[in-house]
Amino acid sequence: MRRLLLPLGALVVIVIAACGRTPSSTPTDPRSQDWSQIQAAARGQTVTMAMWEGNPAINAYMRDYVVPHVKSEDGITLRMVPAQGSMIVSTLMTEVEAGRQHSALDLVWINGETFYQLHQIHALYGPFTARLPNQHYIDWNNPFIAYDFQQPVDGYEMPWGNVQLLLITDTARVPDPPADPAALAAWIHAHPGRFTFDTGFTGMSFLKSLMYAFADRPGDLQGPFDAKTYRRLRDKVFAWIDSVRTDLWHHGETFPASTAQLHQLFANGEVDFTMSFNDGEVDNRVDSGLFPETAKAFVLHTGTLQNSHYVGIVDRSVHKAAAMVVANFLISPEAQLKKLDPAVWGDGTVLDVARLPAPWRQRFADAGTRTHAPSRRAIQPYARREPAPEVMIELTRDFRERILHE
Amino acid sequence: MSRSRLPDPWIILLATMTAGPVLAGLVFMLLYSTGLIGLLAHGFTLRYWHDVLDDRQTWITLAYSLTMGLASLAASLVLALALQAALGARLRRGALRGLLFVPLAVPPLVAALLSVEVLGNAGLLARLAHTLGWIDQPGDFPTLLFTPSGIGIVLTHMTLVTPFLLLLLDRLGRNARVADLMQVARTLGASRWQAWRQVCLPVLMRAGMPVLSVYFIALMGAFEVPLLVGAQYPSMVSVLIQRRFSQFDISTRPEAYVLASLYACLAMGLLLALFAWRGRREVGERAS
Amino acid sequence: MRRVLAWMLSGMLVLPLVLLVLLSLARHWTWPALLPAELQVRQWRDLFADANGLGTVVLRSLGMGVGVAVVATTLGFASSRSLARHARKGRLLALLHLPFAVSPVVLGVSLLYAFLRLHLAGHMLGVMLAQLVFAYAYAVILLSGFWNQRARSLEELASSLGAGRRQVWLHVLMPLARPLLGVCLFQTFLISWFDYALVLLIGSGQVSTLTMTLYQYFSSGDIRLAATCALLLLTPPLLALGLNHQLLSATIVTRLEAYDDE
Repeated sequence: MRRLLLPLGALVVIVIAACGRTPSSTPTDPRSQDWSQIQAAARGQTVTMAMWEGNPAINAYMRDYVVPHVKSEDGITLRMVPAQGSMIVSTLMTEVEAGRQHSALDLVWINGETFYQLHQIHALYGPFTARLPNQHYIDWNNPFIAYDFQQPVDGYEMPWGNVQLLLITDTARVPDPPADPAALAAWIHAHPGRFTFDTGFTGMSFLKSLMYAFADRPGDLQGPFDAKTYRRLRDKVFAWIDSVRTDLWHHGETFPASTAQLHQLFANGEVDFTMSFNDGEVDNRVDSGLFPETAKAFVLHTGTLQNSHYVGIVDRSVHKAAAMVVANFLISPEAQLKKLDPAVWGDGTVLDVARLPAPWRQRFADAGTRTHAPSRRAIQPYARREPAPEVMIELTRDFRERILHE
Repeated sequence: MSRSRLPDPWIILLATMTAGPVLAGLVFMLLYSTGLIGLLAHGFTLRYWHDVLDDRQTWITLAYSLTMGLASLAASLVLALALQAALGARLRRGALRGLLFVPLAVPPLVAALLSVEVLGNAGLLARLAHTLGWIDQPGDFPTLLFTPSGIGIVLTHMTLVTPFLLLLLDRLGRNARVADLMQVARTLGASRWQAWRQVCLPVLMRAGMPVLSVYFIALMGAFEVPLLVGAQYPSMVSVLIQRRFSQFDISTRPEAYVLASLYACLAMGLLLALFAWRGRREVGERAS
Repeated sequence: MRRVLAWMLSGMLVLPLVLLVLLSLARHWTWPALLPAELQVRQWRDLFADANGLGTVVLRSLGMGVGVAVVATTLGFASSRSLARHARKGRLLALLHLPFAVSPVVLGVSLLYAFLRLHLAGHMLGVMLAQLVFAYAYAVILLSGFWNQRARSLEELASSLGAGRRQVWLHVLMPLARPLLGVCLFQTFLISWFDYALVLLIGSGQVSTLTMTLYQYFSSGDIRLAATCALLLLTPPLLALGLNHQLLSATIVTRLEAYDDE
C-alpha cells in the first residue's frame, strides 16, 4: 500500500495546482462612479496590458516612463505581457469558450481588425472613453482618429497614437525614389529582384494604399464594405502585381512573411526598399545602426494609409478602474508629448494641439523633428483613411489564394 | 517479493501523464471539429472535415512535411556517415570531439536565426562568393531560404541533427564492435569499401533504426525552423496549424483542429506501426 | 586531406558562436562585407537596459527549467523502474513516445481549452505542466536503460541483506544512477529552457520566458538584438557542457539500452 503514496501524492499535487486558482469577486462598474472614486478604486490594483514588445524603444517608453508614473502618481502596478493582434483575439475567445468569468488581460493595444473581431465576440468594455478627463483634448473631429477602419470608435477604445505608412529606401542606392505605382513599376523593371513587400499587416496595407491609387474616387473605399468595389480594385492591384511579378524579389515566387523579414532583407542589402507603419521608425533604426545613414522614408503621392492605434479595456477585466486611469494617463499631454519625440518613440499624437493650454501648444510645436522621414505636416495631404475591416480580411485571403497559391 | 494485485501506480502515472494528455487532446479536437462543442458549434457536422479533406493544401502540407522530415534525416545521416568514414578516429577524442557537442546546445530557434544570416541571399556564404568574385549581386546567389524546395529547412536541420548522429553512430559502432567485424571481413578478402558497405552499414542501421525513426517523426512536426526559414507555401504542418489557430478569422478554429487531428493520427499511427514492426521482427529473431 | 577536413569541421562547429558574438557587437554589417564595418555595444546595452525585467525573465525561465527537470527526473526514475519490470514493456515504451510523435504545437493547440478550464492557461504552472508531458516521457525512456541486470541484482541483494526500501533507494540505487540522473536533469532542463511552442500556446502570451523574448526581438526585424538574446539563451547549456560534456554522450548510451529487450 505504501507504494501508492508517492505517485498518488504526485497526482494529487498536480490536481491541486491545477484547480488552485480562485478569482476574486467582480467589482462595481466604474461608469457608475465619478472620477475621484475611480481613482480611489484604482489604487493598489495591477493592470495587465497586452502589447507588442518587439521594439526596444517602445518598451523603454512604457517601462521607464509610463510604469513608474502610474505607480507613483496613482498607485497602480502596470504589467506588460507580449500579446498582440490575433493573439489577443485568440486568447480572449478561448477564455470565453472555456467559461472563464474573469479575463487575464485588462488593457489591450489594438486597432483595425482586432477591434472588429473583439467587437464581434463582445469582448470589449464600453463605452468608457467619455469618462476620462483627458479625453476632451482628443481630436475627435479627425476622421483618422474617430474611426477605426471605418468603424466608429463609439467609446469602446481610446485612441493612443497615430501613424502613417511610409516606404523606406537607401538614398545612396536609390537617389530618386518613385512616387507613384507607375514609377515604382518602372523602377522594379529596371532593377529586378530588389523590391518586395510582406504578406503581413504592413504589406497588405501597402496593397490597400495601391487600391486608393487605382480608385476613381477616394470615396470609393470609404463607408461600409462594398463587395463589388472591393473586387474591382482588388483585381487592379493584382494586375499591377502581375505586371511586375517576375522582376520582384525571388521572381515573385515567394514573399517575406513579416515586416521583420523585410527589414532584414533591406538591412542586409538584399532589397532596396522596405516599409513601415511606424513613421518614426527610420530615425530609430538609423540610430541603432540597423539601417544605413542614408536611409530615408517617403510617401507615395497617390496616398498611403494613415491610421490610429488604440487601447481597449477587456469586458471581463476585474481591474477596469485602474485600466481607465492608465488609459487616461496615456492620452495626457505629457505622455503624448514624450511619445512624439523621435528619440523616444516618434509616434504621432491623437490630441488636438490647438485645444491644449498655451504652454503645451508651444511644446508640441517645438517637439523634436525627424531627420530621416518627412514631417507629419508634409505627409498629411497624402494620408488616406483605412477602408472597412472586411477589406483587410478579404484581401489577405484573396492574396493567399490567388497570388501565393498559383 | 509479493506482487500487489493492483496495477502498479507508477505505470498509471506514466500513462496518464504522457499518452493521457495526447489522447485527451485528440478527443477534444475531434469533438470540436465535428461541431459537438465550441463557441460557434451548431451540433454534429462533418462540414469542417469535408472542407479540410477537400482542400488540396491539406494534402500538400502533409506530403511536404513527410518529405521534409525524411529529407532532413536522410541528408543528416548521409553526412554523418560520410564524416565518420572520412574522419573516423579524429572524432573520437580531442578538441574535435568536444566541439561536436556545441551544436547540441543550440536550439532550433537559434539555428534558424543563424541560417538566415549564413544561407540568405545576402548572407555570409553569398558574401564569401562575392569576395571570391563568383557572383555580383545577392540575386545571383542560389536561393536556399524561403523557397518551396525547402533546402533551407533541410540544411538547418542538418546542422542540428548531424552532430547528434555522429555521436550516435560512434556509440552504436562501439557497442556492436563494428571495428572487429570489419577486421574479420577484411581478412576474408573484402576491400575497405565492401567491408564498410556490407558489414558496418547494415549493423549500424539495424541498431540505430529505433532512434532514427523517432527522430524522423519528430522532424516531420518541426515548428521553429520552418517558421523562420521556410516558404509560406507550402508550409510544414505545425506551422500551418499554428497559423490557422491564431488567425483573425476565428471561424477557422475548427479547421485547425481538423488538420491537427489528422496529423496527430498520422504521426501516432506511424510511430505505433514502427514499434510493432520492430517488436515482431525481434520476436521472429528470437524464435529462429 | 583529413587534417583539412577536420579543421573545416571544427571551424563550422565554432562558427555559430562566433557569428552570434559578431552580430551582438555589430553596428553596420551589410552586403558585401564579410566582417562588420563598425562595432558597438548598443545591443548589449539595449538588452540589459531593462535589467530588472530581463532578470525576471531569466529567473523565471531558470525556475521553470529546474522545476520541470527535478519533477520529471524524480518521477521518471521511479516510473522507469516499474516500466523495466513490466511484462508489456515494449507497448508502454511505444506509448511514451506519443508526445514526441504529435509535436508541441499539436499538443498545445489540443490542450488549451482544458488548461483554460482548469485555470492553468496563461500561468507559469500550466506551461510547466505541459512541458512536463514531454520531459517526464523523456525521463522515463532515458532512465529505463538504467534498470539492467546489474542494477536489479544489486537491488535484490541489498533487500535480501535486510535493507529497507528507503535505504535501498538512497544508498544503493541513487549513487549508482547518479551520472545518469545528472544527464536526465540536464536534458529535461533543456526541454523546458528551449521550449517556445508550448509557452506561446499555453502561456497565451502572458508567460514571459527567454525564448519568447528572443522571438519578439527576432520579429522586430533587428537580428542583432535577437543574436544578443540568443547568446544569453545558450549560456547555461554551454556552461554545463563545458563543465561536463559527458552530460550528452551518456544520453546516447543509455537511450539505446532503453530500446533493448532483455
